Amino acid sequence: MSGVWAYVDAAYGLCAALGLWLGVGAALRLRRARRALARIEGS
Amino acid sequence: MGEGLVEGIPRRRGSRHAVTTDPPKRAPSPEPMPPELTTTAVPATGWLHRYAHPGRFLRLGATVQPWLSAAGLILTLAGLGWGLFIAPADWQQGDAVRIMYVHVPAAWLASAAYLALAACGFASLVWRHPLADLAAVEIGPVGAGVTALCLASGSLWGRPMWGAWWVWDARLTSVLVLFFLFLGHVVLVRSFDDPARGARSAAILALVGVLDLPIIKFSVQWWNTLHQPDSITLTAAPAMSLSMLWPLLVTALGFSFGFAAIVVARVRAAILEQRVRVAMQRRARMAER
Repeated sequence: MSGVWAYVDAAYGLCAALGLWLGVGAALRLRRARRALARIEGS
Repeated sequence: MGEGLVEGIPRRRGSRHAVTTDPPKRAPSPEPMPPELTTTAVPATGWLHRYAHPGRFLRLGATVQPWLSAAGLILTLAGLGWGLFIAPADWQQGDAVRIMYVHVPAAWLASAAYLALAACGFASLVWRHPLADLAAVEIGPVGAGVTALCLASGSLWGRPMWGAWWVWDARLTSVLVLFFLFLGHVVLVRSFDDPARGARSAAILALVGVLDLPIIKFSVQWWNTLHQPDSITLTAAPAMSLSMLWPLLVTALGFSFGFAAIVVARVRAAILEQRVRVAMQRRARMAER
């Protein structure tokens, strides 16, 4: 079973990619919303 | 409020959060609760309504989200690192068993996320709470992502172990149904011009879909499946070594905290986006006059 590391790496890679996509995506969306609200309330 | 909004969230017909004062007043700090929330009419769920108030949720979310994010990141990295580099290989499966540290927590979280979605659907239908609708809208895509990770990692585990990327096994098929339920919710909730109707339809779908959860859980007992039976149950000792169980539990905890952090961030963003829309509509109306 020497070739299993490719499958293991792919599974961990998918996990990291999904975590980054969801996590960073949520953080950026929150920052955008905060800035938009601050811009409107400030003007 | 004239536009049917409570703290920037669209009011739903019959909602106990309907506030009829017009025009909207700037909320002093701390923001006042709608009158319905300050009464003791629903003592059993009073705490739920108290913390489901959008203004309170924003403040609570701002406090807990950094802690949830930190716990999620640290525990996930620790658990996955432990599973990848320290935990022993399986005597039968070899190093392929390390996929378990991604696959199993993702599977647990997928079911838990759907349960949370259904709980929001219940709260939406019974109490008509607008924040439950918002939470459901935000849980849907994240739950779909986690279920997709479960299916993909399972496929990556199945190829070297079973010699197949996919089999129409009861466990795999019922998890695929869960994935479609998440996708259906994501699509349905956005399919109506009237958001309240979309939320109601999606809430009904979420509640009906709960039937899939026991099917997922017991599929490996009810049918002869290629998928192995559960190694961990609440009623029996785990059928795996503690050296494998601990990293699995740590990763599962990390995934859960991470999921909670992402959902809280998305709900906070959704509330703020609603407030931006309301402010812009108000400004447009004032410009017309």
